[in-house]
Amino acid sequence: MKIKKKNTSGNAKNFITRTQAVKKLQVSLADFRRLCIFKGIYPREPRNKKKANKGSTAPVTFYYTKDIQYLLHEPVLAKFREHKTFAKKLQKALGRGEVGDAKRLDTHRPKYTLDHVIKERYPTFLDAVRDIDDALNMLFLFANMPATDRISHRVTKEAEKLCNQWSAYVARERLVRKVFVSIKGVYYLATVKGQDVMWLVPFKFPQNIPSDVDFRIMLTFLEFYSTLLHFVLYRLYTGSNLMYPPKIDQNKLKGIGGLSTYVLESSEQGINGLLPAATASTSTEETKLSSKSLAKALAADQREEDALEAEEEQENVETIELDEFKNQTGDNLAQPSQHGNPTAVLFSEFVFYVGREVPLDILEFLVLACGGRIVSEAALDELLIDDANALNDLDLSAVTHQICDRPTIAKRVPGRTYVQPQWIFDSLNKSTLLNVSQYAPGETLPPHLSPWGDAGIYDPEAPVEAKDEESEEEAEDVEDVEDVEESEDEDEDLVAQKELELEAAGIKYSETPEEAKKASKKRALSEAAKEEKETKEEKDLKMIMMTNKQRKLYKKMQYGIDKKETRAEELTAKKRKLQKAKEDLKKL
Amino acid sequence: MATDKSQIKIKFFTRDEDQEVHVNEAPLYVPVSLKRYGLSEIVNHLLGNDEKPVPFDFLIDGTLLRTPIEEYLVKNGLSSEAFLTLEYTRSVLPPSFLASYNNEDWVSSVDTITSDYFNKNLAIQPKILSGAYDGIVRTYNMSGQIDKQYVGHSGPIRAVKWISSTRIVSAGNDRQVRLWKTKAENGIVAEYDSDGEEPEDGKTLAILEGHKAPVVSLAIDNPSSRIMSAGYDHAIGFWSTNYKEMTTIQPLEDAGNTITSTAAKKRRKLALQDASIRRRAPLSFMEGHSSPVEDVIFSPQDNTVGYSVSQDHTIRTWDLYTSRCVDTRTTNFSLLSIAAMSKLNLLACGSSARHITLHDPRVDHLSSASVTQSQLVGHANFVVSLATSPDNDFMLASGSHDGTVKVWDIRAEKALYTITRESGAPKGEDKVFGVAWDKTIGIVSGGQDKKVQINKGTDIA
Amino acid sequence: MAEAPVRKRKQEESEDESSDEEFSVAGLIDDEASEDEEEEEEEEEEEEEEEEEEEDSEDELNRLLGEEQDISDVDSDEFSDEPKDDTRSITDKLSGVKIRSYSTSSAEQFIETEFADGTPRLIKPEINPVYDSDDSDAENFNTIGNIPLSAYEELPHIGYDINGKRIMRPAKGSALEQLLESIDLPEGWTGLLDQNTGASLNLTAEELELILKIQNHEQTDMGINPYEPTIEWFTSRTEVMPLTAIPEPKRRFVPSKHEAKRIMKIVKAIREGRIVLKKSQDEEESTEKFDYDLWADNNQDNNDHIMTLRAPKLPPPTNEESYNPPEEYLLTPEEKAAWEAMDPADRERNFLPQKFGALRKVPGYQDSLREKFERCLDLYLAPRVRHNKLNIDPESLIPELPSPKDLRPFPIKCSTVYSGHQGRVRTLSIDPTGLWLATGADDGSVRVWEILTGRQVYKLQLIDIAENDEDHIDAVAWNPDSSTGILAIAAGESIYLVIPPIFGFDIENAGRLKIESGWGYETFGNKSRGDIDVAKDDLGDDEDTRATNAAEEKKKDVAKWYKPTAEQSANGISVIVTCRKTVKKLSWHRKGDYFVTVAPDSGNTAVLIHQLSKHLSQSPFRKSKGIIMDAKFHPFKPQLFVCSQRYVRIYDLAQQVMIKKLMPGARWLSTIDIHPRGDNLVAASFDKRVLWHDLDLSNTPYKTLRYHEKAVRGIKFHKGGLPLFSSASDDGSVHVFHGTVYDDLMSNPLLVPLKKLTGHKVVSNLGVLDLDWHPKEAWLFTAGADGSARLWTT
Repeated sequence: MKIKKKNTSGNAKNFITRTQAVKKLQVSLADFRRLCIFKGIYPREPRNKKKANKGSTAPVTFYYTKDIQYLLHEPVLAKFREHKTFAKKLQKALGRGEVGDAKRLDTHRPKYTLDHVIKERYPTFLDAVRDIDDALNMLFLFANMPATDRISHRVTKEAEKLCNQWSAYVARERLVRKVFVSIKGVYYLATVKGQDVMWLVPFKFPQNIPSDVDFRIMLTFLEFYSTLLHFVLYRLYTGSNLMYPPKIDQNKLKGIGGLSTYVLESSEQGINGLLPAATASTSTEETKLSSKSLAKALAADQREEDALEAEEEQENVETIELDEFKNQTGDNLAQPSQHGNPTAVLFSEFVFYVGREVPLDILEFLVLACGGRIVSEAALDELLIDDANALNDLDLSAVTHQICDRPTIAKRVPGRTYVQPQWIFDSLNKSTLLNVSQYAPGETLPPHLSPWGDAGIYDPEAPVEAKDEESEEEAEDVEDVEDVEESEDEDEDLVAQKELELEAAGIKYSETPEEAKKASKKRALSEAAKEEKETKEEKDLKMIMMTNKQRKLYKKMQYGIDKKETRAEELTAKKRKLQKAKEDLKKL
Repeated sequence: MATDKSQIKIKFFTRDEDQEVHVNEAPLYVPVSLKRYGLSEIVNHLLGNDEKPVPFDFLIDGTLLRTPIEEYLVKNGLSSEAFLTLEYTRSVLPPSFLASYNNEDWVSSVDTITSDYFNKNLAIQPKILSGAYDGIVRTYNMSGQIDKQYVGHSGPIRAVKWISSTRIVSAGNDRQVRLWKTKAENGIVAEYDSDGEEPEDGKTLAILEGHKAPVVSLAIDNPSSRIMSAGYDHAIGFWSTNYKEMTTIQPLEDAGNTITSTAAKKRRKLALQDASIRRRAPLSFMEGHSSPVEDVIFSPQDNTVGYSVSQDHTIRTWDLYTSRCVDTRTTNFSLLSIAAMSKLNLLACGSSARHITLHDPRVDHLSSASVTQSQLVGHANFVVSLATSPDNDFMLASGSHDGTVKVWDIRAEKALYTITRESGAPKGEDKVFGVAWDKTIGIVSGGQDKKVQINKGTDIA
Repeated sequence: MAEAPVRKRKQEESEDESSDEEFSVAGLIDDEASEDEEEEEEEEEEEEEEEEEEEDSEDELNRLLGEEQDISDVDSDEFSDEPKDDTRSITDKLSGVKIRSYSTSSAEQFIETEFADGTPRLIKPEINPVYDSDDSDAENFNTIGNIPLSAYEELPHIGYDINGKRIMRPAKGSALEQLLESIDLPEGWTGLLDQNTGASLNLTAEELELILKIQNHEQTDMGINPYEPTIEWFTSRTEVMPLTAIPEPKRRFVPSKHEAKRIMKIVKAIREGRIVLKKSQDEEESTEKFDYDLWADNNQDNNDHIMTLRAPKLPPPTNEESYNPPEEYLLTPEEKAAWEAMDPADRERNFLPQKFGALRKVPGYQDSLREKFERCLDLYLAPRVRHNKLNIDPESLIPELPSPKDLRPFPIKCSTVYSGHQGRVRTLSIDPTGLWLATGADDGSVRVWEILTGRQVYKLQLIDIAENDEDHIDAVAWNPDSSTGILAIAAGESIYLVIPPIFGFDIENAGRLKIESGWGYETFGNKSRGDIDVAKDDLGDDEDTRATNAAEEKKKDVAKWYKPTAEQSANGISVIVTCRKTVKKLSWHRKGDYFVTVAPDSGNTAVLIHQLSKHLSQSPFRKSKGIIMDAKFHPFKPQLFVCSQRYVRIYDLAQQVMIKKLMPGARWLSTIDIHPRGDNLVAASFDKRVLWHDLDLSNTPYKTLRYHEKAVRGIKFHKGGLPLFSSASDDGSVHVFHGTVYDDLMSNPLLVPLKKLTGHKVVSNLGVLDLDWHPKEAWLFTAGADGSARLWTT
């Protein structure tokens, strides 16, 4: 037999270090990085580093050889190479100051497309939807970011557009299932095509941009994500047959821009919805256009308009009786199925009046996604500026709730329930309408809990029993039970004897100190302690027979469990203390 | 007291003879948290003698109530709606410490005498007999002085017994059983020992040889004037209190082999120093145990039956005529002591597993599923000595290596009283080796603390 | 001047008209007038206010007007009334002044008036500020961005000016005036409300004019005259003297080669298509790039390669992250300090829980960008491994064993303590009848106890520790033959065979005979032994012939047997065997005629086999097998187990060959014991291990148990037929095990830990030194370094 050569199989063959990979692909490290980001190729952890690294144990990052192999004939890679040469030419041209040539070259700048990459990485649509969380997070972050020298305004605008399209879709299809307002921003959970998609929308505040963040990487990701999101959105829109990309009526963007423009629309819709029937009949048209508010997009296009019409009319029928719409509803799509979901129709009977001080983007999104309708004070302001008389002759009688975030309300409109925004969040998570009394303005809100619960096993809603002295005393009893245990029974007897002697001496039971009972109690709990001590002992003994592997594993698990438990205990202890403090305060 | 607690409907009754402790048996409600003490107070209140209450014990269908009622309910799965009928009896007060007499060495065994078996009319003041590890048998009078000392054993004494007021039998680690005779105080010589020589003090009447290992227990049956001895050589010796009935043996016959080791010769001499004393062989030598025999008794019903317990977990019944083992019962523990509850016809056996098991020798253990009738749990170490109450059929006292003597009423699964050693010997150094219960003297116990301790209850023993 | 009184009157009745009048007076002036007029309005507002407030100010005003010139009245009454807030007063003064300044420009320069005392007073015109310096638009500018005045309906003020002061609501006229307004529209009425002031916004004549001009595309600026006379710089007429006369250069006519070349280049390029004209813009490209369904081929099968791992999703947020968490989640100051002290890398939470009373109070989160960045890094830099997380119940790892309760009896608690020894009790042995316990301690004494009572019945002081402190009593062992109460004691180099005087004459005698019958054997040699031995048992002859043939010549000096002195024999000592080195271990053959001793540091003569009946000692080995720790006879076969530091060797004494060599894998074995059935062996080691060997299986341990915290000193099987064994360790604990050995070779031994007996104290890092089982009962005897031996019973 022939001698097998070393490093020709197994780990040594399957894994390749990064430097080797870069050499093999003949690209710069930066390009390699971008390529990896696009193709979603990530380092691996070989089982045996030493083998994989051909005997050396230097710390290196390994890639899977097949991955790199399959990068070799990647069109994007070819484009990169082209781009390199192009860059050289351009540089030369500029160096020579041949501006014209440079311009001409620039028109030939090689471009690459990522469609096929996406198709490769997400062979089915569901895969794409499943992995869209990161994309959304990133895009929503950038949508909220100021254009700086490192981030061009085009990028941010693009991101914003995509985000709006996404949220427009989600709101229209009423897919939102959970919401959680954290200190980092607002988490939404939507069920899109059966996949749970969770994304974080940061608060609309200026971000501080750390200096040590490498934006090239983030932008590369962003590029990929936006492409991905484009395709996903296309699929989604066409799926619920809307036109994609939706047209944008530019003049809306002229205004304050961003969400506020849609706020405008939506609000005006809301208002018009509330106009007396006569005017309403005329104004329902644009009501419908803009009804699914965030939709600058949805507004324009005709087909989708119909769809909306249908839906909107349904709503109108529910909310304000407008008979003339009924005949139109005939030729329209069926209602989206998921409206069976309780959260989807949670607010369907309600019209919310959102105060100026409340972040409208969050609430509007949620309310609409739960089938409610919304009138924002800000919108009224806008309207006031546009045409005052419209403002005068609209009546807000249909408004059922007013969401306000002020300690006090100067003049309450009768017939409205005033709630703080958290009411929306909590009742959405519970998918039932909670009692508003806790959420009335000025009230101290109940804690806002995450729908995903606690990190550990601690349940903040579980009631803690007020811990009294006995339990503590029990605690230390358990410690010293070992020595008690011996003479336990004897004690009992001696107690009995003492009693007898006492009685013989003519002392009444009623006069006797409470030793008897205490003794019995002590005995009982010492019994219990004894019990669990025995079981524990038995377990320890059994653990002797474990193999080392098992024991290590067990230790590890036990460690984790203990950590969880200790944390839970700490929290309960804290809670107890707080409660005690509160009660004391009450007493005072 | 405890009015907030749930109440329970109960009815008191008693089997007591005298009428003034009888209460009307109308049911009444009491809080379930009550214990014996509270109930007793109620009864006393009903009886109207609040100023000097009589302590009572309470039995719920035959079992003594030691816990609060609610615990009893829980234990028997009864609801608090249940209707309980409580029988109450005058409770026996714990035996109080009277005195403790000093001894030279560990007291391995004690016995008492208050009346002579043979002539009841003969009034003798009570005496206490003790055997000690220094090989000396001592008798105490009730004032605590050492009355007589019987020297002769070459090893620690393990068992002593009164035969009559003038006869003592003792056994020890030197494998000998010795019959002693002493002069009766008032010169009266009982007619039964009409042997030639004049009575003298502390003289060894005879050495009963035959055991190859320490003899740890003795049993006397006066009517048939028989002695049984339990030996660590797995054998039981059967002797007579009257040496005439036994065959004589020559001291040196045992050394059958002619060649003896040099050192052995010296040992022989030592063994023969009291060659003058007559030696007797056993009437019969009953072997059958596979481990050292720890205790023997005569059956109180008929004196031709003996019971023995051994470390081999068995209780054996011996027919003393044929000296055969007629019955063997195996338990799970080494048995170290035995006593007969004559009225109940039960055998109480103290075990190395710290409890006392009750056996009925009559039931056929092959038919009956469980060998042991019930167990008395509570001791923390070997139960090495048992004594039944002279007047109460249900009570017995047990001495244990845990340094306590416990008094049991076998109807209650827990001990009635615990008698601790009065000489504050450190724990572990205060083992009790022997206990005896006399009607007049009380509970006598001897142990490692070199004391003979006497406890006496006001109305018990 | 003429209609000053008129205006006065008018002013009294209606301000609006008056203002109009004034404008009509200040008829046609340039566009500066516009702002002038604005200021006028200001004043009027003021005046309105005054009127509403106090009347007297008004007649005061009348008086002033009466005695002063028409223009000056404005500022004078400005002075007269005391405005509420100084900021506005200043601006008002300014405005007032301005008015006068330019309106006087049309009238005379100076104004002579006289002071109250009659002295002449000359009011000079003030400096006319340039147009740009005019900051009239800054005044009372309302800064409530898009929020309409409706928001301030219930408030007394209508907003805030540039420096945060409130702007008070202008008073609406009385209902009558509003009615009048509504009846006849004042000219320039627009019906608009001023966004800033909330007053009605009217257009002035100028503004109207201006709008008119703009509508018909006229010049809005008066200053520019569209019709100005032209000045001819260049005329049609040719001059006599031209300005220049340079002849045209040639290149003007000749076509340039260079240009031609370049043109040709481009043309060629176009021909070759290197230059494509009319490149489409990439904006619309980018938009229409995406409008097709990428997943049009609805293939649902996702054939991921086995090696591809999708990026894990981020964990969902927990309660701690809430903007309004339950209070117990908030960190205490010290926790917070700890959190801040910690290196950001190893914080398990990258944020501090905070609680905000209301949503409006929540500030922006500063690290979201960084977090996303780190997520990106994770996505493309972090190596991914498929970490199969097993979510099994840890309890299920604990092996299923029968409960100890079912495996009774076994020792549970300490019943008797044998105390009396001064030094640590090194060794103990219980006699075959199970009545007497012999212990050897560092106080140089051997004591015999009554096991139940713990009574010491015999004591033998072998070593006087006063003058000899390196020797210890290392081993005591009762002869297994119960008919001879022989106790073998290894103390220092010498072995004592003792018969304690506790058994009674005949047993002791038998023992002594057995020993003394051996005297004189070593004198007449080995020749006769063969045939003598034949009479003896199977093991006897072969073992000891061959062994002695092996160790022929140096049999003499491996050990010497001495008669005891008189007083020694009085103490019960009947033979003394002295070896070369200190004897550490001693164990009997089951028949009680042979015993093997181990003197670890005497090389090849470490293991000695002594024969009681012939007072004979031989060393079976020629050369050393390393440091021997222990040696024991097989329970019934003629085999010897020799335990060195690392290995256990099994020798067949019949064929004088090594049968098996066990490799326990422990670093330093301490002792071994052989299962009474002879097919299993346990070894204890100083490195805390207990090893169970199944001799039928391999020579590596069947089980290696490691449960003692310190060195394991002793290990023993129960020899009385109970499936028990136990081990004693320096950690002061004794572990009792159940070890069943089955008959069929298929099933492995069953080991069950039963009980951990604790009670011996650890003295100078020594715990329990030796242990032994009661021959019949499940009773265990242990010897502790605390100077006591203990009996553990069921």
